Amino acid sequence: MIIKKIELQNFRSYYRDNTFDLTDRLNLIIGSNGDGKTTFYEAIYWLFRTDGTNKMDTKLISKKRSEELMPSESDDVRVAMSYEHKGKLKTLEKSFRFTKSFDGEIGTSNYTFSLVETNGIERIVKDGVLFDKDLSPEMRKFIMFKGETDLDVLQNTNAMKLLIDSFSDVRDFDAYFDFMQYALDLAEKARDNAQKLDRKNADKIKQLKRTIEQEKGLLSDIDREIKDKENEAVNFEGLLKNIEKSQEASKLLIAVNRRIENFQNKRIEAISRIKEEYTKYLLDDMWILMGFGDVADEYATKINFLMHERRRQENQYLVTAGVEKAIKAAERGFTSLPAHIPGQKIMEDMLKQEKCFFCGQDAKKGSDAWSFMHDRLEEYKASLEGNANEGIDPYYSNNYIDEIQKRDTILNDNLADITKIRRVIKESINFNNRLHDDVKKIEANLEIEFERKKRILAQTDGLTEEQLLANYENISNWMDKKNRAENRIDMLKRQREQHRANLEEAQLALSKTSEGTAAAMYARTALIIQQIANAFSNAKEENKKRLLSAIEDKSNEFMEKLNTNDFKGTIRIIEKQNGQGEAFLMNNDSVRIFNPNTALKTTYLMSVLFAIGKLSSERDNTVLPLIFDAPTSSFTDAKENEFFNVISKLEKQVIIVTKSFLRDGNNGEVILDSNRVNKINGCVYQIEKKRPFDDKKLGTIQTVISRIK
Amino acid sequence: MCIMAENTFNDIEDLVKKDEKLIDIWGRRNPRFEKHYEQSVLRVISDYGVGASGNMGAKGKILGAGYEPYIMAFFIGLYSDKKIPLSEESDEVKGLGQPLQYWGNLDSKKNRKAYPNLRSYIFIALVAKTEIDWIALDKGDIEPATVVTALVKTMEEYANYGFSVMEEKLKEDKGYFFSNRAFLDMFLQLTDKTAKDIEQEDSPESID
Amino acid sequence: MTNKERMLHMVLDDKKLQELYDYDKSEYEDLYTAMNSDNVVVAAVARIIKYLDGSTDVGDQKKTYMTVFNYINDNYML
Repeated sequence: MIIKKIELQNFRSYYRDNTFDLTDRLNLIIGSNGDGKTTFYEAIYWLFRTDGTNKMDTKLISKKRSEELMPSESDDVRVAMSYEHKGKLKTLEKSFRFTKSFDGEIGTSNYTFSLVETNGIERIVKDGVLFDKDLSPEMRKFIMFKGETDLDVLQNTNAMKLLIDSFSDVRDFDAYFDFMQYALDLAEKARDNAQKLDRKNADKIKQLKRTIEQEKGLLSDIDREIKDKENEAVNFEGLLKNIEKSQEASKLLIAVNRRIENFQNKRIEAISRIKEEYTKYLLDDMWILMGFGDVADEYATKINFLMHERRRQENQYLVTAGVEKAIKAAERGFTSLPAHIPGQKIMEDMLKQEKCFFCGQDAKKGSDAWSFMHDRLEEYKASLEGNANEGIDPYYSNNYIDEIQKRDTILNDNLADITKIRRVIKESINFNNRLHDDVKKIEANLEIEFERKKRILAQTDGLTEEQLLANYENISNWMDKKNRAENRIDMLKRQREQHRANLEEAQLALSKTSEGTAAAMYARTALIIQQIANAFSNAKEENKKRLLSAIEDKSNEFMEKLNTNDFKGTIRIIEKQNGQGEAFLMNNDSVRIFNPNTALKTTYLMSVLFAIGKLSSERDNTVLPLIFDAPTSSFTDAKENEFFNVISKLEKQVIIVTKSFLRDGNNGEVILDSNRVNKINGCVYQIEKKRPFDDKKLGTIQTVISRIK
Repeated sequence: MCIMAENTFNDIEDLVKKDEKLIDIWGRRNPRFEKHYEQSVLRVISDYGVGASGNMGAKGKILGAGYEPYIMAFFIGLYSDKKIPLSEESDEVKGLGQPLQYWGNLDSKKNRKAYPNLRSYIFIALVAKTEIDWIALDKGDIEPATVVTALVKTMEEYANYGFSVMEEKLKEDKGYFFSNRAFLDMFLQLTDKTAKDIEQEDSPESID
Repeated sequence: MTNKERMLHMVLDDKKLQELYDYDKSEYEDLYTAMNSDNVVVAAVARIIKYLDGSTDVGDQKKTYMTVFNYINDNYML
């Protein structure tokens, strides 16, 4: 089918007559939002409606035209498409009349929907619903696409069925499939009835039947499980393939994480070695004594002085007291020390020091002088004992000075440590500074590793860190699961063989039972029919597979042309569980690409559509046009140009309604990029609202079309 | 290398006989301070008034027991060699609340060590800096209690100066003493015989 | 090749069926040859395909079934 011409008359914004003459290759209709692109689409949808709905909707009438009408004046809303199909020229036309009544109301009438065939001079007018024969409603889903989301046709539940029915090598498999079930049913009933009459073998027959039922049940279960496991295996396969891609990244990531952990531990350890609670050390380690040296000096000086003074005063007292005592003793006839000899202590000192303080001469122990002093002292002491109550009163009653003097001794010993404190403090501060530097170095290293990590993650195609790491761990998990699924599949397949063999055996045995009787014959026939049914079933599957394969191959051919240099890989098409189909991309390493960018997605989906179109032309000997609304909005300008050019060479009629090739002009209005348009190989129309217009007043809206190329 | 000076000083009290020593009499005293320093200094930097916990910093304070700021104040005064007499109004002063003999007797928890020996050094400093007729004391002409009172007065007056310094600093900068170098640097400066400026290159950048 | 012939080929290409009933490609080159084949299964399949003619009408199904069923019964030799 090749669309030659589309006419819109008074259809919404298309005021009066508007005609699009189209080529059999690329056709572009360029317009901004609101200019009439969507209306163009809707006109075609309205035209194609063969189910009798939505006939004469007043909303479809061009407001401008209806406002212009004088009372009792009429005009038509009309949409027509002229096309060539299977060698015939036809025009599909839908219209109705609208009339303005005397009170300004618009009424509709005269709905017509016709398919006109022009055969030279002849004009054969048929009902418009016959258009379904040229383009069935189901097929229409494969030729008209609004936006980029519509492009994924295979996702429709019925798409696969339709494709298979329309384009596979063999059509009508379903009918034969149904028939075989029906035939098998009847044949088995016939056999059963015949076998009932065979009393002799009744038991055996019953048993065999039971076996057959069982085996059939088991086989169906096994088939189901195999399908499940195959899906599982495929899923894991896909996951594993994806992981392999990111394996390198995962390994790097693990290494980086390990280094980060090491550095963080080192950092914590280094920080913990820093002990900077200086305020605490002032007290606990008595660093506060750092300036105590001077105080200690003062203290020592004072003590020295006090010690001397204390002794001096005491000695003075003793001298005085001693003299008084000697006098008293002399009066009482006591032996007293020689008058010029001072107190007992002095005597003891002199003896100790082996010297006479008064004459200054030595009195070594054992010498006469020493012995003399010693004897006198002993006599004196002895004579004192007898007169204790006349002993000299001690000068001091306390010895606090002794207490504070003793502190001085140890203070003195500690002085060295006290003077060291400042140095200790400085060393401590320096040590901590070095540790701080160490920490800084470690932190710098950490920074580097974090940067590395960021770079790794940035390059992994949107996988998060968790996923990358999980992936790595998952590899062995998934390998396991995949292997188990595959093993299970193997086992199930073996079981299936076994059960099939059992089933066949039982069926054969059943057919052989009652040998020689009519029952045997019927059983044999039933078996043959069963086997033929199996063959039909297999053929049906095979048929489907061939179709998908064919579509795949053709899609890849188109992809090559449409995609040029960007992507290296292939399109795969599969049938999913629920009858939906799916087309996806695999790169050269047979890894599925899960999230291709929009432009790439559009490209491969359109390749599939072109492929389907080509298939239909080969099988059916008919071509079908493709009508797209803004499919390339995610393409760059350059890519778009390329894209359109390739399409224009595809020998396929494509109508694309688009916003492309418009750019902002100097006064804020939108103008056509003539340079780019000139490079297009095909027919180009521009549609735009006629100025001036008021968006709020529908009656001012009119789409004007102009042919650019 | 162990830089932290362990308390390696010999125990000064070892040699002193076990009679009632002057230091013991002094130990029973409860030095006073001017009340207004409680809010402006003591409660800011220590657990004073909250119940001393040996766990310094549990409530975010720099010092633990209330005597610790007192000790700091005392040494500030001592090293500055400046005293300020306590106010004569009796309702403007109060006793710290803990007799001197307990000062430095922390439970050695994980964080802190006891420093009882510091008391001896304080005592020594007081002896060095107080005018006392020791001979008269030994002769029995004056009472030990009187002497001890004079020593405590010296302590109170040094501390009083120290508190005024601390209060000043806190007025300028509420968080002044919260830096771990604040007190250390202050003392280093007070006791530095050579240069007058603190060596700035010593201070490390903060690690938070 | 017509749709029917394609279907004929697809079904009779089935390996299992070939094994069971021992026939080869030459027997079903086209619908006519298949209809006249000595091999009962080949001929039966041809009949199914031809007589049903892709219909889903129960009447057609029944007619086809009877034809094929009788044909097999009459011609199958063990």
